[in-house]
Amino acid sequence: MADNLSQLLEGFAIALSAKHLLLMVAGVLFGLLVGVLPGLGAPNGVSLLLPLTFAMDPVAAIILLTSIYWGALIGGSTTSILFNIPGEPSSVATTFDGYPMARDGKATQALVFAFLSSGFGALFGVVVVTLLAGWVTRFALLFSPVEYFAVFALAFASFVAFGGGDPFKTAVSICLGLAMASVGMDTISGSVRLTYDVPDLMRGISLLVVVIGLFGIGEVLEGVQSPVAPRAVATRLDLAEVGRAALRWPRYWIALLRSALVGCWMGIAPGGPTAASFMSYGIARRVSRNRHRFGRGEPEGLVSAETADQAAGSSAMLPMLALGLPSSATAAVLLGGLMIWGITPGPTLFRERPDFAWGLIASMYLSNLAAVALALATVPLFARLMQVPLAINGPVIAVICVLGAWSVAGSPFDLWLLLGFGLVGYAMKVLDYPIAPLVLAMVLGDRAEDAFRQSMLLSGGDLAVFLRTPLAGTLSGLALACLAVPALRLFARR
Amino acid sequence: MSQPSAPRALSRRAAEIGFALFAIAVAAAIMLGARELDTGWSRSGPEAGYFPFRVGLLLAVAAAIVLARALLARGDPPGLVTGVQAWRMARFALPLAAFAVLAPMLGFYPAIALYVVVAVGLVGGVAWRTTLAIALLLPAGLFVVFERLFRMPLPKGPLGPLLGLW
Repeated sequence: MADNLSQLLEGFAIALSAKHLLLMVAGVLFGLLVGVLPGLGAPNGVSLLLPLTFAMDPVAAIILLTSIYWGALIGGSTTSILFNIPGEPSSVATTFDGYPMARDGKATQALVFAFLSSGFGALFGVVVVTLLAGWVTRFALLFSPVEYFAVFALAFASFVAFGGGDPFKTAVSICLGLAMASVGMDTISGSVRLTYDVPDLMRGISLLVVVIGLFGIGEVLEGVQSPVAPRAVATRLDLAEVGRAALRWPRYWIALLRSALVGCWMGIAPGGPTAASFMSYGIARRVSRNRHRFGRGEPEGLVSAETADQAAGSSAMLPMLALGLPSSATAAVLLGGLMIWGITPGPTLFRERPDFAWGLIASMYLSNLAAVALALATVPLFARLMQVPLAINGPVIAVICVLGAWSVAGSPFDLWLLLGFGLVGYAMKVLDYPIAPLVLAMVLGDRAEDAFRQSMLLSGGDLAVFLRTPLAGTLSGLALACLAVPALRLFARR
Repeated sequence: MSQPSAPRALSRRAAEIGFALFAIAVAAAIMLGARELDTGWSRSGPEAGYFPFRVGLLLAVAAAIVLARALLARGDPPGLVTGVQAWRMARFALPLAAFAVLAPMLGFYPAIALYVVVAVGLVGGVAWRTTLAIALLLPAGLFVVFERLFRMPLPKGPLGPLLGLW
């Protein structure tokens, strides 16, 4: 524990440089922008900037990209409250009570509650990361390929069970991601797989192109198909009202603590911010004394959704760094970045690159505070931006997506992939196929396969190896139990 | 999603079936691709095709279940995409596809200007003065970001040298 704190102080020494502070502010502002604009979201906001960080020093790069994530998570709630349009999937639950509050003339209060709750959730998440980092890395050092495969299987299984989507559609999503991960060079045998003699496929399918296509182009297509005329209920903040709301906000401390815990749980065990905010809102609606007012502008509902959303986002950094296991689509993209910068995630990261791991954790404290302040300050600006018609926004976002895909490798083939995945993303969205599991599977695919093949090598082809040690057995058992959850639900309904 | 009276271009059921068939086709392609490699075991554990083949198989099974449920579902759920919506999407997607194809050849900056004129002005029906302002300012802004800030030059095509711009 004391060790973690001294490491954290060293992290602050790294994060508190003028360059890094500037990157945090820039990242948060860009994040707020992508969080507010409906066609752009956190995963593809990060994907768009990732190629530009190839030449940067990894610490600066991760600070910039994670700051985008915090900004996007918090920015998504602005549009949810003022326009009833979630800027991010994870702020859908924020609309339930946030928009009715704004409609009833309490827009300022709703925004202040949302931002402060986000900030609280984020800081709670970072404190959890700080305290658990040492313990989790020691735990992860016990992992052999067998445990790693079991943990990856658990990640996929928990998406099937708790992702909230149709379990079979989730399975389709995961399989598509795994298959795309195996295109190109096989890391163990060196043979080339699934390229169908297309030379451009030899280097594999780029994760960034897929993410920009699925989330960026797919979302713009969806927006073009059914345009909504955004009309704000209010765009002005009254400063005295901001102060009054901030003083009232601590009253919700029970909801805040409960939601932060739910968020951290969903952030560390794969689920991600979207699932966390829905789950936290659902729990609040069940246990709150004000449950009859939920959905009609109850601040507790808003606070619960926002706190869990941001707590999940920040605590997701722990499994990402310590195990190389992302629990949200954005964390998956960040993990892809880590590998590109030559940083190997895993328990040894904290020992070999403490500057990176602890610099990032320290920056999370600072940039989340910056995000709360900047979110409040920029409400009028972004509310104005929302009113730019889609006829202008759509093409501009599309151009940025095309440039983002181009900057990955400078290949015309990638632009074709981008368009193809845009169509697939659109179809998946309207048909309720969850997209995050696909991205996760794509990032983890190669490592899951390697872990499986190494386990088989160790055991001489005996599948029972995944049940033999207590640790692997527990993890595999949990994975199997997760797969049983949808079946049980089906039975319960009959 | 749509009013009952709106003409339907695509029913939800048809779309569900279509996407499930697409997923099954992808699964077949994966399994065929994996069969070109060794899908079994060797002394060094599972071979290169082992994992992809099984992923393809699992994908086929999951997609087949989605397909079966869509086929067996009773009732007529409301339409997914109306004719108007399909037209809106096509008007957006086709210029975008043309832009993606032409940009590397024509040069990104002129292609962006051209695309903005088509997508914002012609298709979007935004006032011409606004359209032209975006068509000039967007490439100029991106030029500063990519060429100057991040030193990541984009293809400029034949137009630049002709105009003596770069």
